[in-house]
Amino acid sequence: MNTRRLIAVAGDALRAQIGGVQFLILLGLIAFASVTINPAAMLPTGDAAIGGVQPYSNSVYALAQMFSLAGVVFYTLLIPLIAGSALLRDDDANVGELLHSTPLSAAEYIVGKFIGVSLLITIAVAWHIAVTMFWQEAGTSFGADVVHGPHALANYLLPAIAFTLFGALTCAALAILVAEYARGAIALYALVTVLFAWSSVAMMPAGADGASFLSPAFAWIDFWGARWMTTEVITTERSIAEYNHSAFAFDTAFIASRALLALAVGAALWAAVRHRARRMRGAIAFAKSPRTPIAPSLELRTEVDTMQLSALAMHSRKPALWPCAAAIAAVELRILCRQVAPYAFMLVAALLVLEVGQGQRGPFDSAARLTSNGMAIASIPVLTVVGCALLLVCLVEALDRARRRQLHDMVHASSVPSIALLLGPAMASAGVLVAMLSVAMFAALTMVVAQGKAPATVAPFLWVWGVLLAPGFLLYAAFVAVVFARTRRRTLSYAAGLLALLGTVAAHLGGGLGWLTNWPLWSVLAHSDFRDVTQVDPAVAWNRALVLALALLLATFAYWSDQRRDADAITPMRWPGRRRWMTMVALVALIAGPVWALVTRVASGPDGRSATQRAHAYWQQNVDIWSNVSPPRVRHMSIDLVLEPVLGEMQVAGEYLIRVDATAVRPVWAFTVGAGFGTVTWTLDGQPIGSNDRSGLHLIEPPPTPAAVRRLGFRYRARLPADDRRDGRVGANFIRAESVLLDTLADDFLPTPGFVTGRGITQANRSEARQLSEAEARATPAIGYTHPFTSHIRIDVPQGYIANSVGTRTGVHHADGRSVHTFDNRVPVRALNVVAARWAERRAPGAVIHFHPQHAAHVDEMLATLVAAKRRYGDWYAPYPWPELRVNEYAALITRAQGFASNLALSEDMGFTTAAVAEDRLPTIIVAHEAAHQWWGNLLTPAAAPGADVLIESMANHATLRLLEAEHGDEARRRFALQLEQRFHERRQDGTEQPLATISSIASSAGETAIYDKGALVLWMLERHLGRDAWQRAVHTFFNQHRGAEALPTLPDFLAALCREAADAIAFDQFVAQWMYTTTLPEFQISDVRVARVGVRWTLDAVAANVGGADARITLAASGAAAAVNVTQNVALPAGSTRRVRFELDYQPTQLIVDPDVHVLQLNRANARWQ
Amino acid sequence: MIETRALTKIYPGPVAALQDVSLQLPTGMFGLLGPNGAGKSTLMRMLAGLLAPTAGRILIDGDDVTDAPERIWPRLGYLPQEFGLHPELSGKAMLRHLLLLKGVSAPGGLNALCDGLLERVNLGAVAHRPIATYSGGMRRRLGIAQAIAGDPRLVIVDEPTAGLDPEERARFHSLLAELAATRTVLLSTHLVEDVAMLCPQFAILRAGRLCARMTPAQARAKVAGSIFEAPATTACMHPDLRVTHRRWVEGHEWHRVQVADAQPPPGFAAVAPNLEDAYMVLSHAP
Repeated sequence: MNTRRLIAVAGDALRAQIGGVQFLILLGLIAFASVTINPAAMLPTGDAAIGGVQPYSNSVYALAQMFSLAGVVFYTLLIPLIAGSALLRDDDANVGELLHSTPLSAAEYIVGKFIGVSLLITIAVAWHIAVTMFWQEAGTSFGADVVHGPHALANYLLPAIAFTLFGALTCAALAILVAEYARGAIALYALVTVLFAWSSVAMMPAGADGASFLSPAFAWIDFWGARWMTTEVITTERSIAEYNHSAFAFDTAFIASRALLALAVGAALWAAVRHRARRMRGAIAFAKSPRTPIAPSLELRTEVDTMQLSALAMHSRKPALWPCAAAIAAVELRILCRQVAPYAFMLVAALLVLEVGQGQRGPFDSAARLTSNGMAIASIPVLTVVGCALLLVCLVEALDRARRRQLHDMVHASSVPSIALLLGPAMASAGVLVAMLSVAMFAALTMVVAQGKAPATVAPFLWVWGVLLAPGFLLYAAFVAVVFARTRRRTLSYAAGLLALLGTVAAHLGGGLGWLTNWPLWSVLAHSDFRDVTQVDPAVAWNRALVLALALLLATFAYWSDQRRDADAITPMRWPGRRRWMTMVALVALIAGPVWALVTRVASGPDGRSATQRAHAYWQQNVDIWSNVSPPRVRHMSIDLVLEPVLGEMQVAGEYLIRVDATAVRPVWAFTVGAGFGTVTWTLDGQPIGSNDRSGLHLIEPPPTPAAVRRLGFRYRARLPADDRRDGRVGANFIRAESVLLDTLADDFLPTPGFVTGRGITQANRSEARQLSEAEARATPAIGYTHPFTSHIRIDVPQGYIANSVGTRTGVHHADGRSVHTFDNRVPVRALNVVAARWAERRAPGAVIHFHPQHAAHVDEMLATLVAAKRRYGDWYAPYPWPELRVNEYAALITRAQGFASNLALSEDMGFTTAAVAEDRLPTIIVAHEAAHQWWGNLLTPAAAPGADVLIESMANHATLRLLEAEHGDEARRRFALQLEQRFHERRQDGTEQPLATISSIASSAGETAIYDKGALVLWMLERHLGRDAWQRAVHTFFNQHRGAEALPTLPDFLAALCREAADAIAFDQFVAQWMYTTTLPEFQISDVRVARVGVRWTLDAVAANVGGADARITLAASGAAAAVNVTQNVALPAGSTRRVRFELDYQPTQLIVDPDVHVLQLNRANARWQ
Repeated sequence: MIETRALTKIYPGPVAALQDVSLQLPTGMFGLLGPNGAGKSTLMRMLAGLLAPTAGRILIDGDDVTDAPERIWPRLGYLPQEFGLHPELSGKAMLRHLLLLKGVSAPGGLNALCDGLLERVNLGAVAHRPIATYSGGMRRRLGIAQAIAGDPRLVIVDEPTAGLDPEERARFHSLLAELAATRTVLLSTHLVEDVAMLCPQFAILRAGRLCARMTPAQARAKVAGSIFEAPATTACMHPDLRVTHRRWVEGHEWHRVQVADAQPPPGFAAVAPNLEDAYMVLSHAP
C-alpha cells in the first residue's frame, strides 16, 4: 500500500465528514448527554438512607456506565451512517471508475476510508472525554446530589477506549462493509437499527439472568461493553466504597470479546477490500443500476413508422384517490420487497419476541406460563420500537424515493391527488409492518405451542398488536411524514424519528410517560386470564382516541406541508385560508376531548394535584401532633360491604367497638380515611357525631360516659382506584370486574385508626424513621393495626362472584342477583382482607382453594400443601385456630402473595400459572410460605423493632424449608435452600448489607434478600445448631409466652428463648453473634487434592480452606462414580483457616464436595468442590 | 392558448432566473431556445406548476392557474430535462404506473394502451425487461411515452431528443407534430435545427429575459445578407468578428460570421442564413 495515497484517501474522508451534519449532531448529542446525565445515577446505590454513602459520579465504574450507555444510544445511531457515507458519497457522485483509473488500489481505498473515519471517531471520543471531564471536575450542574471523587484521568480514558472507541471502530468497519456491498443508504439505516436493537436489548437487566438463549451471543458481540457492565459490574455485588475506590479490572471474557471485535473489524475490512477489488476488475459494475446491453434483435425498428397516436383513443380524467394510493403502494412494496431492510427487521422482531418469551419469569426466577394474551402484551415495548424503526426506514425511503430517483417532477406534474403521494408510501410501509408483525406473531405462537401450557390463539395478537397498537404506529408514521414534508431531508427525518423514539424510551425509563404522553402504550396493559383481552379500560380507550386524533392532526400537517410545487422563497408566506383554520379547529377539538377526559381522570385520581396536595396537607397538619399518639383501641369491627366490581365501587357501613382509655381526661379519636372515600358520616353509639376533618385525619371527640366500650359507626361510598394513576399502574387495593382485592394494610379500604405514617411523604419531606424506644416498639406491631381486633364482615357481591374474608364463613345467601357472604372472626388479628372474583373451588378437609377455572394445573399441589401446612405448622408452632384455611387467586394487575389470617391472597402468577419444572415445587413453596404467616405475622405479630422481619418472613421461609423436608424429602428442601442461597448471592450488596438483627426495612432489594433468603438459611442453621427437639421446645415456649401479650415480642426475645434450650449457651451466643449481628459469610475452597490407590483401597488427601469471614462447621463428602457411595467428615473451619483432610475409601473418589446437603450458607459454592 | 404575463422568478441571493417574461403560446409547436442558464427550465417548471413564480400570471385558455397548479396538471403532458425511473420495474409496469397516476385510460384498457404507447416509442420489444437494463435513450423514450399519453392540452418537453439517435429523433418529431395539431406543445431545446424543423414560432431567452419571439422565417430574414462563410482557422480570425457557427469539413475548419453594415473579411463569401445564424445573432444582440 502506498502511504501517500492512503493518507490522501483518509484525509478526504476526514474532510468530507468533519463538517457534516451527522458528525455535528453526534458532537452535540455527546455534549448534551455529558452535561445532563449524572453517571452515578446509573449505579446501584445500595444505601438509600439519607446521609448514606453515595457513589462518586467520576469513579471509573460510573464513567464506564456512562460511556457504555452513550455508545449504545448515540454512537450506534450515527457512527455507521458517518462511516458508510464515506463510501456512498463517492458512489453517489459516480467517481468510482474515475478514482480507480488511477493507481489507487482497493486496499488503499477501503483502509484509507477506515482510517479517515477512525480519526473522526477519535475526535468524537476525545470531545466526549473533554466535555465529560470538564463537567465532572469543574461543573456543578448536577446539583447537590452528585458526589465527586478524586480526579483521575485513567477513569475517563479506560472506559472511553475500551467501550466507546472499540465499539465505534467496530461499527464503522461493519458500516463500511455494508456500504461497499449494498451501495445504498437504506442498508446503512437497517444496520443502524439492527445494531441499536441488539445493543439496547443486550444492556437490559432482564437479559442479565443468563437464562436467555441469546445471552452468550450478547456477551460475545458486546460492542459497547454494556452487557459486560450489566452482568459483571452492576448486578455483581459491590459496595459503594468499591465502586468509588477500586480499580477497574477486565476479565478474560471481556478481553476475549474485544479480541473478537478486533477480528470482526479486520474481517469486515478484508471483505470490503475484496469486494472493491472485484468491482475494480469489472466483475461488479460501478454504477448502482448496471445496464445490460439490449440484444440487437430487440433493440430497434429502424424504419420510422406512421402509426398515429390518435389511433390509441386515449383520454384522461382525474384519477381517484384510492386507486392512485394503491398503485403507489404496490410499486413501493415491490421495491421494498427487493431490499434487505424489511427482512432484517422481521428477523430482529422475531428474535426479540422469542427473547421476550424467554424473559417471562415468575417467582424465584421460574419459568412463567406463556399465553397468547401474555405474549401479545409483553412484546409491546420491543415491537413498538422495532415496528417504529421499520416504519421510519420504509416511510422515509418511500417518501424520498421519487425525489431521489428524479421521478418527482413527472409524478408531481400529473393529476394524481396529492394525498395519494403520502398515502401510497404509508400504505406500503404499513404492509411491511404487518408482515413484520405477522412474523413476530408466528414466533410468539411457536413459543406458546412449544411450551404447551396454554392454547395458542391468534385473536389476542390481532387485538393488541392490530387494534391497540395501531394508533401509536399511525402517530409515529404521521410524525415522520410531517418532518419529511417540512424538511424534505432524509437525514433530518431519520434524526427526528430516532430522537422521538429515544425520547420516549428515556421518558419511560425515567417514569415520565403518563396517559397523555404514553403513545406506544407501554406498561399500562396487564395480562390476566381473569379479564377478556378485548376488555379495555376507559383510560386506555381515551389514550388511543387521543393518539388517533394526534395522528390525524399530524397527517393533516404533513399533507399541507407536502407541497408538490416548490414555494417561492421571496413571496411572503400566506396566512392559511379559512378552510384550513376550520380544519385545524376541528382537529384541535378532536384532541381536546380525550385530553380533557384523561386530565380530569388523572386529576381526580391518586396522582392528581388535589389528592397529592391533600395528602401533603395531611402530613403537614398532623405529623407533629398525631404521629406519636396511640391510635384508638378498636377491639372489634363489624363491616357491611357492598361491592360493585364492574363499577369499581364499594359502599361501606361499619361499626368499630372502641375500648375507652380510662386514663384520658378528654379522649380524641383519630381515624385516617381513604383518599377515595366520599363523605364519611359518623355515629357514636347509634347517634350522629361530627368529626374534625384535618385533610383526611378525622378527629372525633366522644362525649364523656362511664361506658368502657363505645360503638363508632361510619358510612361512606368509595371508588377504588379513585381514578386513574398517571402512569396507569394499579394500586395495592382495587375493585375491578376481574377481581376485588382489599386489605387494611392500605388506608383506602376502611377508616384506619390513628395517623398513617407514609401518607403525604415525597422526596421533599422524606426522613429516616424515628428509632422507637423499647417500650414504644413493644407497643407498636411490625405489621397491621396497633391493637388486635375481632371482626364480623358481610360482603354483598353480584351473583357469580365469590367473596372471602378473614375468619369463619358463617353464611352465604343469594337473592335478587346478589350474593351475601358473611364471615366471623373471634381470634384477634391486626389485619383483614377481602378478596372476590368469579372462581372455581376445590376443597380438602379444612382447606379450600378458589381459583380461575383455567388455572387448575397446580391446584391439587397447592391444596395438599395447604392441608400439610395447617397440620404441621399447628404441631410445630401452635394449634390453628380457624376451621378453614383458604387460598384465593386474583388477577395479576399487581404481583403479590399475602397471608392474611385464614385467607391467603395470591395473584395468578404466584404459582397458579407457573411453568416451572415440577421438581422446583413452586406452588408448594408459595403456599407453604404464605400459610406460615398464619402463625408468623398473624397469630404472633412481632414488635416494630429491628429484626422484626426475621420473625415474619425469615420464619415463613424457614417453615417452608421444614415443610418441604417433611413432606417431600430432603432433596426438595436442599433444592429450595440452593435457590435461596443463589438468590442471596445475586442480590446482596456487600458493604451496605445490614446484619439480620438490625434490619428495619425490606424495602430495598438487598434488605429483602437478606431477610427472605439469608434469614431462612440462618434460622435453618440455628435449628441445626440447637437440635430439632430443643428448637421445637423453644418455639413452643416463645409462642405460648408472647401470643396475645400486650408487649409485643422482638427478635432478641426469640433468640433468648432459643438460648434457654441451648446445650452450650456460649457457643449459641457466638453462633448468633456471627450470623445475626454481622454480615460475614464463610467461603470454602478445596485445593491440593491427591488421590492414591493403596492396595484395594483409595486415599484422598486435600486441603479445605475457609477464605471467607465467618467461622463454620462443615461436612466434606468424598463420593465415587456410583451415586450411592459417599463418605463424609465433619470439619470445623474458622474464618481464614485451612485444614488438611484425608479420606480412606473402598472406591475410587471422583469428587469432594463441601456441605453436600446445603446446610451452611456460604459464598461461591461452586468453588467449594473438587471433581 | 397558453399565456404568461410578466412572469418573474427570483431566487434568494437574489438571483433573477426569469424576469418579466410575457408570452403567448398558441396551439401548435412552440420552440424555446436559449443558452444554458437562460431560464428555460425555470419557465418550463413554472408552466408545469412545479415552481411558484415570484410575480406574474399564467393563464390557460384565459383561466388564471398561477395559484392553482392543480388545474394545470390534468391538462399537462410533461417531460423534464432530467428524470429517473424505478429500475426495479419493467418498462411496461413503469408506464402503467405513471398512466394510472395521470388518470389516462383507453377503450382497450390500460395494458393495451401501454403496449400501444410503447410501440409508438419503439420499446415494445423490451416492454417487459427491467428498466435497470435500459440504455439512456430507451429511458428517454419511456419518458416521452408518458408525456404524450392521455389528452393533454399542453405538452411541455424539455430537451426531449437528447441522447436519441437520428431514427428515434425522427420518430419523436412525428409524434410531436401529430400532438401539435390540436394542442400547444412547448419544446425547449439546444438543437436549433429541431426548432427549425418543427416550430412555426419560437422564442429566445437570455439571462432570464425574453429577447426574441418570432417565426423561423422572420429570424432568418433578420440576418439575411449579413452572413458570410469561409474556410479559416480560429487563429486567423479577427477577434472582433461575430462568429455564428464553426464547423469542420474533412479536416478543414470553416467559420460563418455575421458582418452587418460593413465589408466581409477577405475570402468570406455571402451565404443564405439559417436559423442557427439567426439564433446566435439574436441571442447575443446587445
